[in-house]
Amino acid sequence: MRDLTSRLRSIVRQDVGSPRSLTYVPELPVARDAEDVAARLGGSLVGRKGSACIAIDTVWDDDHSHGRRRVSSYRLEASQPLGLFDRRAGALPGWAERVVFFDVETTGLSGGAGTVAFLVGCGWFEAGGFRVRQFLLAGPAGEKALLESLAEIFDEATLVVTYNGRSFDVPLMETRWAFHRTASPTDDLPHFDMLPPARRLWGAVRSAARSSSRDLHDLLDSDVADPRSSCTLTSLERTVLGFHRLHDVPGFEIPARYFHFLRTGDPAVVAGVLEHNRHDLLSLAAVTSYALWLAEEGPLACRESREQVGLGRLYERAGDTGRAVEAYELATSADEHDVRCAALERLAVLLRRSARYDEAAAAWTRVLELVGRGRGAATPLARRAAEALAIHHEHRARDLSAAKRYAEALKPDATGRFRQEVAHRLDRLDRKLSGKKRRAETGLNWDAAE
Amino acid sequence: MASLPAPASDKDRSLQVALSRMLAEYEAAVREEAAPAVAEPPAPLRQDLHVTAVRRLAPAQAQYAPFPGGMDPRLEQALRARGLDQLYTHQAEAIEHVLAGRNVVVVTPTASGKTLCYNAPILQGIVQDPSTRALYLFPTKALAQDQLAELHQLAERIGGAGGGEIGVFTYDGDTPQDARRAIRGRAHVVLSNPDMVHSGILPHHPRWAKLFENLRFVVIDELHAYRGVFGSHLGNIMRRLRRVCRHYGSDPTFICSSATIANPRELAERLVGAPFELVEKSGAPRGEKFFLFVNPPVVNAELGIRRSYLAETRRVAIEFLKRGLQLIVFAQSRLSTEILTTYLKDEFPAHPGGEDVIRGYRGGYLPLRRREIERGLRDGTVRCVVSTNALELGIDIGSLDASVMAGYPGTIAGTWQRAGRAGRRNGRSAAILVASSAPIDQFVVRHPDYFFGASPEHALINPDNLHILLDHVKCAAFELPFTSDEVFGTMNVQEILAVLAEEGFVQLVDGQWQWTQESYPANAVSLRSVTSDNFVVVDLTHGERVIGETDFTSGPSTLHEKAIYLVEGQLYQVERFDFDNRKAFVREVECDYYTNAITHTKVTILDTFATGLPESATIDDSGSRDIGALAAGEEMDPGQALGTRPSALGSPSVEPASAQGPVPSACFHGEVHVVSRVVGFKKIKFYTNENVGSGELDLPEQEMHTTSYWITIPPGMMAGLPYSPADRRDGILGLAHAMHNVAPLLLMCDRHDLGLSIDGLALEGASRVGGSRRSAERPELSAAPTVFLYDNYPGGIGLSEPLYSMHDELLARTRELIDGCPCKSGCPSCVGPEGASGPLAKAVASRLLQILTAAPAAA
Repeated sequence: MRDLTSRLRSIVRQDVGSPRSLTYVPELPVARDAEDVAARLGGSLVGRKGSACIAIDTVWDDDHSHGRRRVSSYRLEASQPLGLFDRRAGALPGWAERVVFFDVETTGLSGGAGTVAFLVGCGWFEAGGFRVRQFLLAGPAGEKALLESLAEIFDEATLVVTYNGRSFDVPLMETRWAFHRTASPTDDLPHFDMLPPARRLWGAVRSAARSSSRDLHDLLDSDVADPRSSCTLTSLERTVLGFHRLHDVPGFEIPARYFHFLRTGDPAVVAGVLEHNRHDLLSLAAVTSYALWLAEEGPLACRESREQVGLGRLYERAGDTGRAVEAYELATSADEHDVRCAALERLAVLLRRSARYDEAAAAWTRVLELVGRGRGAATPLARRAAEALAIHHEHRARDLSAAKRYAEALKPDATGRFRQEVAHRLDRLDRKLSGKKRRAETGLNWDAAE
Repeated sequence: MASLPAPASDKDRSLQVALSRMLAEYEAAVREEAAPAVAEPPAPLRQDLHVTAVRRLAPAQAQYAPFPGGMDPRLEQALRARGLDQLYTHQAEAIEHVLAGRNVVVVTPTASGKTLCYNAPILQGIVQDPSTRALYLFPTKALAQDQLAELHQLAERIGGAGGGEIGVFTYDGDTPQDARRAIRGRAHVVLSNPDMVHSGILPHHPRWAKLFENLRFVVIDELHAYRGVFGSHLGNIMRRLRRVCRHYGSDPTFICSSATIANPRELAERLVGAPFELVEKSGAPRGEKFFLFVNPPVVNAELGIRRSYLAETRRVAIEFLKRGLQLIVFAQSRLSTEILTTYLKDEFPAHPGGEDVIRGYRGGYLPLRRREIERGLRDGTVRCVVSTNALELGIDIGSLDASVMAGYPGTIAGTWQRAGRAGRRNGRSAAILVASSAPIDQFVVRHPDYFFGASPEHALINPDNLHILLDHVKCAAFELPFTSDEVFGTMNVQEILAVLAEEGFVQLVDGQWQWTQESYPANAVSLRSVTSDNFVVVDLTHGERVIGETDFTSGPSTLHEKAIYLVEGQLYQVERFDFDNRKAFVREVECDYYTNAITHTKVTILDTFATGLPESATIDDSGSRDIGALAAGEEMDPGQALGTRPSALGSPSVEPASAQGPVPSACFHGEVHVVSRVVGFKKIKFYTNENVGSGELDLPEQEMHTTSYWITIPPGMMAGLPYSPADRRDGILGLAHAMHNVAPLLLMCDRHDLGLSIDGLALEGASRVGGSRRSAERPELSAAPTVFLYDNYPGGIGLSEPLYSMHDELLARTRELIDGCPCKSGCPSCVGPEGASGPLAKAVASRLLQILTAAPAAA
């Protein structure tokens, strides 16, 4: 009878095929224990021996350059308009007193009890620079110490800033506290997720008719589709901050590197992960600061029209119509076709909402000039413009023949229910037009009398 | 064709008339005297009775008990408001156990108020401490939905009586994502199924911390459903559940309900891993029930051929339908379900535009269709349902008048359960078993006392099947890191973890085995089979439409190209079978035949775990069962026919002992490699079962490692038989055929759960539908033929080991079957039909068994 181990092996191997391995070859002698790992990574142990995690501090001095600006320029001030980004966060009294930037690296993305945040990074500004404190697990025994340390930092924070933390980092950490049956300090955490405003500012310039609440997958898809409007932190730091990473560890490799570290005890393999996390934190602080600066300065400070549209979206969502109109108006003179279209459409919608009907109609007319090109209303945007103009001319301007012209432009491409709507509109316009004609013939021109 | 009469107004009377007609027709005399609870069969017992047994199960009065002391007044008030002023004795007993914190398994017949046994103490627990949580497990989603309404009502009444709000929710694959969070927070009682606990709850236990911290009760309903693969999985899920509970500091009480099986307590204890109290005496009232065994008449005595049992079932069902009675017909397979549905629909066609009153029901139908049929049964619009065992479980289908079983369900427990699907508290009902010509059916129908007198079977599970165990160790490691001294079940989990570490699944750090994979292991493990794959059936007749699904193993044999696929009597032909994408494309057809696949199987021994000689055959002069004797068995093994074989026994071979005279056979238990392939199919005509054509197929092989029991007949014994080599071969085939039919009687399993092979080659599986079986080929046997009975699941589900230990009994029972069969020279009911088994198969098999089971005197 074969022994248990060899029977197990035959089953396990049959399922996994040949074992996979990293191409990374350890160069240094492997670490003996957590203390050794800590020493080799320039950190120290936190917690009792045997159940400690490793804390590693890194400081960037104020005059260190990160991208086009210096670290000191990224400090957040209470006067900055955080409320434009997140009304609740902006209303927190003294939010700027201790802003902690927060980002985790995990053993997987699937969630569940077996997904662990093996590296937790926190960053904050202090006298003289930006400090990042990272907590690394050398093994599962250190997690309690990690959670306690993090809870202390959270307790002191007046604001915790994350990038996609609302759906990933924070729920994941809540799972870990629940796992250890400890009360989670995140219940009333003053939390601000920078991802949604970043998407409004720098995300794809898309038509207003589509929903503004999109999930991460949408975001990632659109990132792939249009690299100019990618909203991953690493692409923003390139386009917005002008910072380029060298030898960055790609995100998909991070769990495998950590597992390799657990198996071999070689700390060098996670050094790159630590660096990646540190850059994420500094860039998160810089991007947040830059965005706040931009929102404060207004559309004239933007480097490009695309950003002006984004800023317009931010103002619009925050309810600041005046500044939104200003931003969109500036962007309508953009060189890029899609940016101009988007700006004009948003402008038209906002103007109509502010009861500035003639200006709205003028914006829609410019949209049609841009996209209509005598092709009827072939694109969705042209359709929306023609429809808005048909409505405007029928009900506001009372120019029935102009209304009919726009309605007819809608006809060739209309399908489904919309087709019926167009037909109804045309019928109604025809009836009104013939009534008007008759009234004109009989000398009873009520419309003129109005 | 006939039109269906209106539902009977006096059901008792109509039922009596139907039964009398049946008995009168067959026996010309009805015995209806006031009989004892189990009456004698009509005498004289002729050799070939059509109705071989009539039993009257007397009605039983309700046995009541007062509410146990310590019951909360609010709960009592709610129960009284529902008209419950007292409890049945078994309910009171179960509730008392639970209130005292003891695990309990309640064995109850259908409609005996089992749900109150767990609902009452649990609701009481919640009323007294609103933080209390309970988890209910049902084997299917449908059963959970069934229970939700009742529990909800009771919870509301208690809430009305000042018991506070009690949250009751189902949580399964159909629960919308946005409702899940609310359920995790608000549910006092979560109704779920093992699959969801396995993949949705346990891996996310931190989100369920509130449930696990306060989990005081776990209910496992329909416990008997958890045998074989499913039970082996559940055993591991319970290990995981209790492990997570320990982590959160809870230790729930388990309440199980089970249909009658031999070992409810043992099964509960093995599944949960804790001691249980047993409550098995029902206090519920029971209506009068008649149980009849029907054996289709022999139409050809020489060949031992009986009238088709499906045709006979049809006749019996029509007797009831004609009289306006509502019934359920159980068939043995999906195919025979469809065939019977077709037959009965032909007899009672639906009015044009009207609703079908005859419906089919089986796994693989889409859930909506199933719910519609269940509803139809309850409200009476469906008059007859033809079902596989899918309706054996306690789905509420109301109280039917009769249950007709086409073929012996394979187990005593299963038969009682199917019989129990008909029955009313205060009225008459009937259960009819129509025997097929399969040996097991013939054995049962000719030995009614075996059925009525014996205890039902044992439910066997093997949570330590290595394939299953490994999967769950992975899941458990993901949920909570194992410590380096932790125990999980009975196997050495540390050794398992060490192997998983070699492949990078886990790593020992800080004295804990940490999960080191990005993946989420529970997603890759399906509980219903050893593999989670399946095939979907796409109908192309009116655009693309999915009409069913089939598990991976049976896909090739039922969905190959040109196969006829049936859904409720509608015939579809498979146009294209896309094995790689797991799809079969079908189109509606009209034809008068169905198809049956021909599968070739090859078995190779990988490893021998145990070797033994039957005690009775110990060689007298050697004095001990030493390795030499064992090696003799080994030496006689036909090595070339079995392929390479690792030298497992380790001992050098010894001279074959043939010189010592008659040599005992050797039986083995070990691991085998099974390769099977569908090579062709037969077209079989409806009603006549004529073979009207065939086709060849070229489909991929399916292979598995599993465990097997096998027996080798020594060459000396073979050579000593006074028959020609061809007759000897027939005898071995006949012996194997009979053994394969007796083994499921000893194990509580389906005949399908055991594969059969001789010398590593397959005997083509006999189809119960086809009636007659012809082996397409007659393989030459080796000098020392070996009969394999293997676990028909990858890794084995624990059937072959008990079979190995029951070797003596297996041979003795097989001998009883063959020698007790009234046929002359073999029939489908013992060694196989004469045309297929050879003229002397019965005689040779009988002689072989005589030698094999002989006392040492044979030496």
